[in-house]
Amino acid sequence: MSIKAPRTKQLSGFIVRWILLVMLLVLAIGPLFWQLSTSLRPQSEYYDALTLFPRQWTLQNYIRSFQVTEIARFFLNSVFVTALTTIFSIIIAALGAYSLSRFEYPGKKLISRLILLVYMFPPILFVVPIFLIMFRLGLTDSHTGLILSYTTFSLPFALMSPAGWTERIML
Amino acid sequence: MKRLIAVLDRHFGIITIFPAALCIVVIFGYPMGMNIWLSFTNKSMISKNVSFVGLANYARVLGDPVTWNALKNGVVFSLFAVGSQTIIGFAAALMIFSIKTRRVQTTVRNLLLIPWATPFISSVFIWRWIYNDLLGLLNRLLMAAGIILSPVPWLGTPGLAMFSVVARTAWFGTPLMMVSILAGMQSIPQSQLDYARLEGATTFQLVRHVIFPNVRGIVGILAILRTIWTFNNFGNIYSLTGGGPQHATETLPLLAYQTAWGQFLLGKSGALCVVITFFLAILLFVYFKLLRIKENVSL
Repeated sequence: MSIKAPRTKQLSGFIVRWILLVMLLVLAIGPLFWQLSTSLRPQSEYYDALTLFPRQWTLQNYIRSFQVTEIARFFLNSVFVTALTTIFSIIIAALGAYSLSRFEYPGKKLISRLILLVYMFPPILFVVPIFLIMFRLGLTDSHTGLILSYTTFSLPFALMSPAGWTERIML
Repeated sequence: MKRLIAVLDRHFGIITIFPAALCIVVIFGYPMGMNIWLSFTNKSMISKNVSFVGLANYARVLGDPVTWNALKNGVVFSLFAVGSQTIIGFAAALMIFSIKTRRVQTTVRNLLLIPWATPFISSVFIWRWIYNDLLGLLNRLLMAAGIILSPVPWLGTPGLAMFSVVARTAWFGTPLMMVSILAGMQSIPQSQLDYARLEGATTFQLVRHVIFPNVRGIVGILAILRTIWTFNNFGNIYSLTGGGPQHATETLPLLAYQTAWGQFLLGKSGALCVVITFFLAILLFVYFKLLRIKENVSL
């Protein structure tokens, strides 16, 4: 997107653009950087130091979290659940979105409206009923239950967003 | 075998939608149906008797100023959160799009995507820490810069609390907006951009007449989905203010949650949920009309 414009104008546009981008970068990364920096400080520095980097570096906080909690196990749980959820929701949503954009059959409109309706319902209110369903299925406290509900929660969005693209695929 | 394949082929559309439909019906259909049924009863977790009360819950919900306050908060919250995400996201995408070096372009984009990739619980800690009354980062920075003289209770003052919640939500949501709009810009045929340039279009004209029309559809769909998500969002507000101070950031989902699990009035909460869905349906209708998006098969 280079536009023929007077040199000075081009240069000033370049500078303004980069100033804005750097501001955005600071806003986006700043909070996380601060969290990282705090995690490497000793407790005495949490409240008083307004410096970018710790005055006294320490790994104590990390060592403690490994000692106090089973963090490695939690991490593996997350990886496992995420991987399976992603695989299942991609397969189910890709098939579903393909069906919605490519085929005509009775009830299709109804199905797509139901998906939108589900997406519009406040998700927090599903929490207890889903717990009850999982309880009846004997899936509480299990990876399967977690993966099943995560997959389903991701479906309405996953079904709606690729539908526009699958329509464009030339056959 | 051949016949089986023929049958499968004929009904391929229904077969491919079936897994998704089944999941949604089992996990969502049952709770939703239950909610709608409960909204016509006086079901409560404190008393055992359940009887049909017709529209009494709806009358109570709609006659309660707390509901209307929550609706107002939800509209303000969604409007400002989605509005800022869309505008900043579009501007950021445009600036990244105009970076000529491919490598720099990708790097800047990836760095700006980081907030979106932050785990929710981790960002909650960051932002509570930033907004902390006495020792929060924001107060300390502003005091060090001499902009304010004493700490400001960001989450404890009604007007500011809404602002703080919106800012955090925008921080989290802008990256997705940006990256999707950028993807839209990158799929504009180079010939269109070249032609406009040859014709001597100014940057503004290029954006107005070439880039914007090309990404309008994406922006529209994203804004709709984000609005629904934001309007129904629970965690972003609950984790920072819990709806306070004095109901200043209480939106409809928080109110419905509080009604169900704070006051144990499941019937009334069910009615609230139906009302929320109804409001969203109106909102969607207006959106579709405004954006003049042709009603997509998928919607």
